[in-house]
Amino acid sequence: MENILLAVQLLMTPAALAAIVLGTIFGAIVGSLPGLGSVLAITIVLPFTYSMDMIPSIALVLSIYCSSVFGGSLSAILINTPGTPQSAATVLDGFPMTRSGKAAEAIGWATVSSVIGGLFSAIILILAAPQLAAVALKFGPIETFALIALALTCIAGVSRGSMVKGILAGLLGLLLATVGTDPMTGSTRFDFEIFQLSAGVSLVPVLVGLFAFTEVFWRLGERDQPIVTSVMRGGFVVAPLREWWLRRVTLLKSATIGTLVGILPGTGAATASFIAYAEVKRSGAFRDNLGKGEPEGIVASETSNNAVTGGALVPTLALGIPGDPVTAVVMSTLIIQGVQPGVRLFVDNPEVMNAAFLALILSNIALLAVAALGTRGITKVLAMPEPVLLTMVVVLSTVGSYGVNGSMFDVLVALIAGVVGLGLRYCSVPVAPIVIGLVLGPIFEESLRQGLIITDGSFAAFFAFQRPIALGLILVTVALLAITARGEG
Amino acid sequence: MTNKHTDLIFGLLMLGLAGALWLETSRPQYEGIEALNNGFPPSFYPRILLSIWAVLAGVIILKALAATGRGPRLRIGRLACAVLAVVGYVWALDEVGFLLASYAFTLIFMLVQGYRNARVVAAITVIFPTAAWWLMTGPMRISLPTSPWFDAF
Repeated sequence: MENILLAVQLLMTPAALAAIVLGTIFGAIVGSLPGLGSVLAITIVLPFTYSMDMIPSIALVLSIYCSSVFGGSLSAILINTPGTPQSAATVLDGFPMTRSGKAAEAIGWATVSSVIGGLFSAIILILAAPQLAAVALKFGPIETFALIALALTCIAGVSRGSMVKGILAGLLGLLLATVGTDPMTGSTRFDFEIFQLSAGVSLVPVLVGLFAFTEVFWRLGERDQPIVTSVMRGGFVVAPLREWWLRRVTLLKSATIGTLVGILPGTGAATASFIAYAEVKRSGAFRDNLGKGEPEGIVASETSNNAVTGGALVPTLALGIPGDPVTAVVMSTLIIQGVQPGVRLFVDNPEVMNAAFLALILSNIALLAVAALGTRGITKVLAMPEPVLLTMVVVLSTVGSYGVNGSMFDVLVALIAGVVGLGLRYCSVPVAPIVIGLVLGPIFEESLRQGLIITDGSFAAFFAFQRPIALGLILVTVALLAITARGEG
Repeated sequence: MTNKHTDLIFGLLMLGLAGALWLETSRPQYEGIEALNNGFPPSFYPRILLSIWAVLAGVIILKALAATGRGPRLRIGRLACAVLAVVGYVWALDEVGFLLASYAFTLIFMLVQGYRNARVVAAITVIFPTAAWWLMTGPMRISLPTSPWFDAF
């Protein structure tokens, strides 16, 4: 109780509340712009959190995370183009509603569904994360090693492109994490006699390069650019409670699907929204009208994709294992602020975690207010010419990567990462595993080396029956590799 | 370029890179100090990663031989101009400071993208870098590169 009161006190400051409101507006705007999405939205602001206090910076990132997923639905409804892949299923019924003159109603359905999905998953997060962390306290280095191996395999397996390339990308991330001083021996590795590399590769410039610069370069190089149709006028009308009651089962089912899918590493909101949509198509009360502008389709898609936010934060906060690039960036914010996500988080920083949970709930409430008051303004941004937008992204990303350490070297790293990311994208290599590998690399190496010291250098002990958790995780990893390899072959 | 060629080049590049990095790990600094190593020198873990990396690169090369289809078609000229503009911007940041470099970059980058609405270009060129500079150096308290001619920016 004392911790909760302290968390309320920490969050009820002008800076934290302003961060929630501004983050919600910014996230909704960037999320609504086709192709930009949650990762870019958070990546752009991440460097600026260095100069902010801990709680406002966490509140800012969490509110952007929630609202950017919602923002994708605005363009899906108004211009038939999902702003983020998460909202792809929203197009199916959202745009037909707009064409029949019900854009404001469609946005109302999407907003309230998003808020309900977000709040549902936030409650699950609050209940589940400490329990999972308590179980994970029993994890030793070998179990941690096996868990990270499983997470990386999951992410590589479900990434776009082939699994072999996905694992290679994960290895690249793990190898990047070894640049700099070896924590066990103090020797420098892969510094190539460049002084700045002896401190390692900073995460933020790599993120900015791989996501922001690569996206800009790719869009400029694309031959077949998406044609944006005229933007319909947005609005916000909430359907009567009776209409919501008729769709309550879909609401609950979709929130559950989104939360569970979010907990699984590597899956994400796009998968959740299509699973929820498929489920409503199978069993929904209004399934015969789906695809023709039926609000139940929007409810399924938007509830589930926003419910992923809380679900995805469960393994990120409790185990320190981010399941996708967005949560990897969220985790980076915590690390920047000196908070290490993982099993000790709930023991060492309970007040910070309670404040984060509270921020997540407030973000969802702020989302409702921002959508109700500012949808018209936000949708005007959709009409912004892409050249202006991409120029702004480059300038903000450059400033952001410079601001981390006040170093031009970081800007150079971001630029190189952007060009490398472009090449990787051309070769159909997913970049998400690089980020996850870079974030988890130090713990992965440490747990492997500690595990080997414990077992006197025996790899076989990692697979022993005396360690059932590690054995189980490794068996699941091997099975997953085999299944995916068979699917690819 | 066909997928076969793209994957073949990518696989060979990765294999070469793995080899080069393996060679790097054979330098004396990777042997560490035996008393601190616990039997696992600094090269131990990177070499495990590089071994798997090399095997995967081999798999990519083998799979490339059977690959079909074409990769995405890109407008190379426009792409090269964009990359050069950003490289120039990064160079200019260090030479003339954030504000002046950003004015020039904002103008050039919109033109490189083929955007020709003069009023919008002029307005964005002046307003956006100034607003970004004010936001960073003011409320965000992030110091940005300054020019050699002016103290403030």
